[in-house]
Amino acid sequence: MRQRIEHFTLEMLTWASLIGITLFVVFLFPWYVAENILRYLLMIASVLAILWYLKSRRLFAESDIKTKEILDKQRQISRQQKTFDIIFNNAADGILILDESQKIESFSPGMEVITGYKKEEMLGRSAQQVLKFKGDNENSLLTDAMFLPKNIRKKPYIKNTLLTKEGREIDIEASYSLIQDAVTQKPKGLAIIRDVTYENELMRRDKEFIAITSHQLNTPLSIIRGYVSLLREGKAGKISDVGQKYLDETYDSVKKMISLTNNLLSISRIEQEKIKLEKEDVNIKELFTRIEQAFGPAAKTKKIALDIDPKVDRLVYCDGEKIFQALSNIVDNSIKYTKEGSVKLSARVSGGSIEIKITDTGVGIPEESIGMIGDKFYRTQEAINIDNKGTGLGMFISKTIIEKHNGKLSISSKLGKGSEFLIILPVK
Amino acid sequence: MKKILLVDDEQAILEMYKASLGGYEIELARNGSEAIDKANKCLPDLIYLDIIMPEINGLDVLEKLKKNPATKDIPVILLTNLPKEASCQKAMSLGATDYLVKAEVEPDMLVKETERIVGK
Repeated sequence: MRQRIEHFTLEMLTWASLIGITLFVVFLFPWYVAENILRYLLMIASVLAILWYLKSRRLFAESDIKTKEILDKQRQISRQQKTFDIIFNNAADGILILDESQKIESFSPGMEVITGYKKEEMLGRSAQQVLKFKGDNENSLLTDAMFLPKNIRKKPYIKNTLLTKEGREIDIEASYSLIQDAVTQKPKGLAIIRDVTYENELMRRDKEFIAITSHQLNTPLSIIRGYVSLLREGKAGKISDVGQKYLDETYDSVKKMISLTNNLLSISRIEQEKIKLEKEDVNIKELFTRIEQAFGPAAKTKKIALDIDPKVDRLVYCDGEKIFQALSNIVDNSIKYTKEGSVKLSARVSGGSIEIKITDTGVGIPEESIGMIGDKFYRTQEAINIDNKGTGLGMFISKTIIEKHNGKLSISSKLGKGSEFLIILPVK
Repeated sequence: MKKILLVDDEQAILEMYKASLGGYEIELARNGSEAIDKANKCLPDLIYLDIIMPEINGLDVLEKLKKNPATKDIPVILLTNLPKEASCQKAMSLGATDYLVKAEVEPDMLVKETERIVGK
């Protein structure tokens, strides 16, 4: 509209100027001169009139297009708003938006179902005060996370146990983002909250099933292994060479099955957080001696040197059995995946930590796979090529045990050259 | 000859351990009550005791044996399928000599452990 007024004013000024010039010519020149000048002026005016007409049509057309674009945009915004409203009001997951002072600005019907609170009693209230989580210091976890800039977030979601209005405990998973108000540009927190209580219950039952099955399998497997051992030792009379060979095969297979069920049991206990550390002062030298006793024969059979640094003599406050298990899994792998050369075990104290290093000259780990070593069931193709019966559980157990001790396992490797496993454990 | 009492509700396990421990006099008990009776009657030099058994479980048997002046000095080794973190601490606090997990113990290891405690 403003554009049209400006345009009209300009045109009026142009015509006023033309009339002024005509009057000026009529009064200043004799008629025969003025007549010619006026004729030319009339011609110029006609041309200008045609140009003005064409220009106006174009301007009006442009103005119409712009008006149409604005209307389209408004309709689009309105459609988006409606779509957002439909999602907001119908999503089974809860949508929560907090303003910059962490007060609840939007509380979707999904949130009402999950928490048991009504929108009316939540809007405008501090999220930390009204959304209660299990645990004394947990209430601020979600709100703090929602306002963290993307680049310093540790992970894009949190898992926690939320207390509903009725005091019921529900497991939730919340993904969150830091957003900006479209008008004020002020920061806001957005969270999509999902009730995962049922899924967690199913997972818990699965883990329990694995634990019970593994446990129940252990008794018959131990019996089979025991009797096969007695037969191999000749306690039931002399066995033929072929019979001995069959018994050896049976014995090896049963041992593998026992190892697998034990690994599954360990994982099940780790995942159900039933694993407890029984810490005491443990001399690393004793652990190394046990490793030598346990793996010396296997290394000798493969003609690999098992070099154990005898100098280490240091007490570490840890669960000796668990750390032995963690070391055993790594050394077992190193021996298994080394065709020739050596497996070395050394340790040194650095500050308040002990660094245990296991170095082998084995097949190595491809660079892109190093980050996945320690993931449950993960095995590299190189490992599968050598032993296709492994489970990919040993490194997961080792990593978990080390992390339970507030330690760290880091791996460096060169494909075809060997690997180095560095365990850092706090001494106290 | 040294006397060993083996306690387990699984007959096959009892027979297997009995066969492994050649050179010793072996007594067998299939449940907790029988274990307490036999321990009192034959006063063994060592008891291998399972935990999960009907009626009286192994930890209760251990507690009763350690409270009884006649049996309190008999070394008791828990031999069970329960992982160490489940019951080891409690067993040791009740006076167990050791805690072994069946899946980790082969017959020759059982022999070595027996020799360590009571001699050959």
